[in-house]
Amino acid sequence: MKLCGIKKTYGDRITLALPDLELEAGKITAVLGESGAGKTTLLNIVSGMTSHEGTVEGAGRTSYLFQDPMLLPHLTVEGNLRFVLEKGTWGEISAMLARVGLAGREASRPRELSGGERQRVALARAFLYPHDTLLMDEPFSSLGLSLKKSLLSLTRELWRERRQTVLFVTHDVREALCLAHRAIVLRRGTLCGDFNLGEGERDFFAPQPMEEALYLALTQDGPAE
Amino acid sequence: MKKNLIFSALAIVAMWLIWIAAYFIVRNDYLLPSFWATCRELGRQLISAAFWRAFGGTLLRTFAAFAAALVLAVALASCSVLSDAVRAFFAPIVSVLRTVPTMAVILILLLWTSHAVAPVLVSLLVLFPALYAAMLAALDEAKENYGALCRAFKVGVSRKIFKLYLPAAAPPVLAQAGSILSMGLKITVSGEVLAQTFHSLGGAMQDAQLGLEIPRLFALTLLVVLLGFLLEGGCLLLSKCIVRWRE
Repeated sequence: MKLCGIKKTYGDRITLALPDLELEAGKITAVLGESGAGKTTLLNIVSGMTSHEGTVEGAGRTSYLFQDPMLLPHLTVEGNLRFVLEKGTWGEISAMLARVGLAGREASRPRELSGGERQRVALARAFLYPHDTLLMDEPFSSLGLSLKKSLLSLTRELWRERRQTVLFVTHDVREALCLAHRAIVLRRGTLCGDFNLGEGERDFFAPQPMEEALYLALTQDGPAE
Repeated sequence: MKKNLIFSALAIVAMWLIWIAAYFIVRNDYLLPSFWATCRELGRQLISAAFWRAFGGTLLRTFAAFAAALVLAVALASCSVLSDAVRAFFAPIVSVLRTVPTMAVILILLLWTSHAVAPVLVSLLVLFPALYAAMLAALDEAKENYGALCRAFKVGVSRKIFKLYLPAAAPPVLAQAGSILSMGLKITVSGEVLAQTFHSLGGAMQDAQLGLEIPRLFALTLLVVLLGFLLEGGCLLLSKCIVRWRE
């Protein structure tokens, strides 16, 4: 995927101005940054949800995983999946629900699910929706540590089955190290760091060699090494 | 809950006492009938076929106006939530409808339509802005909560309306439907009084007033109030049944 001359302004204020950037297809790229760094704006630009200057090439069809599961309360779990799917067979839906650990919960309402289960439904929805690029906007930020770890592993497993391009917005360095192959760091709408994280698949709780460098890039002024 | 019921019962007793006190102060049956005379008349009305014909006619007109206003409000609010241009187009029309004097509209409608249709139309014109505003507010809330989801997954217009907007808007609109329907009953009866509609509670009230049958006038008024309460209560019950998932 190529991002060429991406710029987003609100009135006179520039909220995002990126140099030309190429994201490797079939890999997970973490987008790190503090609040207001322009991370979500970048996702919205890639998904075509917001107007912008510059071009996005090769994103194809996008799917989205939000911070809030955004499940419709009046629909069942199956109804929520069908709401976004143009076509989806019962078999596909129940198989995906089984993959995310919700086998037999097709008829449950969102109010009957725990916070983690709701996020699993959102994960199922994002992976079931036909896409070339998956956009994830801090989907695990409101979860407890052990739940976060298990959902990160689940995301990794689901990604491994089809290996789509993923843009994963987070402000948690650990999450990025656990899931992503590459991390780009945004600060005040500009790119201030680009890190190759190798093959990822790190243990969420183990100390990471790249952790300090990423924290420095996130918190220090000026471009990172 | 029990305490609230006691206070509500006390309010009814207070209104009854005021009526009795006012009756003894006024002491003129042509201005204010006694409570017991009104009750006797109320009993007579309840066993009269003419009353039930009038009751059915008024109820039918009220429901017809409410249903038409609801369909119109749902359709136009759905269009407004999808397009800012449509919303801007309807904004002044709804404002005009909200401020136009009801009695003037009835008089104009009487020139253009029949005595049976005018009360329905005036009720529709009064109910529509209230239902449209309630519907639009509920749809806006649904759009704010789930608009990003629809944009991200490129959900089609019909699916958005029928699977998201209308089901999400139903609970708040239903919660207000009772008071709006009750208001519709008041407007329909007012229209019937002015139009002297045949087979209507308003028409019967007008007859009673012209014939100086004051206990009958009061009994009919009391029945309209009771009907309003019943409609409000019925809607509340319906909304509770329909929106179980919200509780």
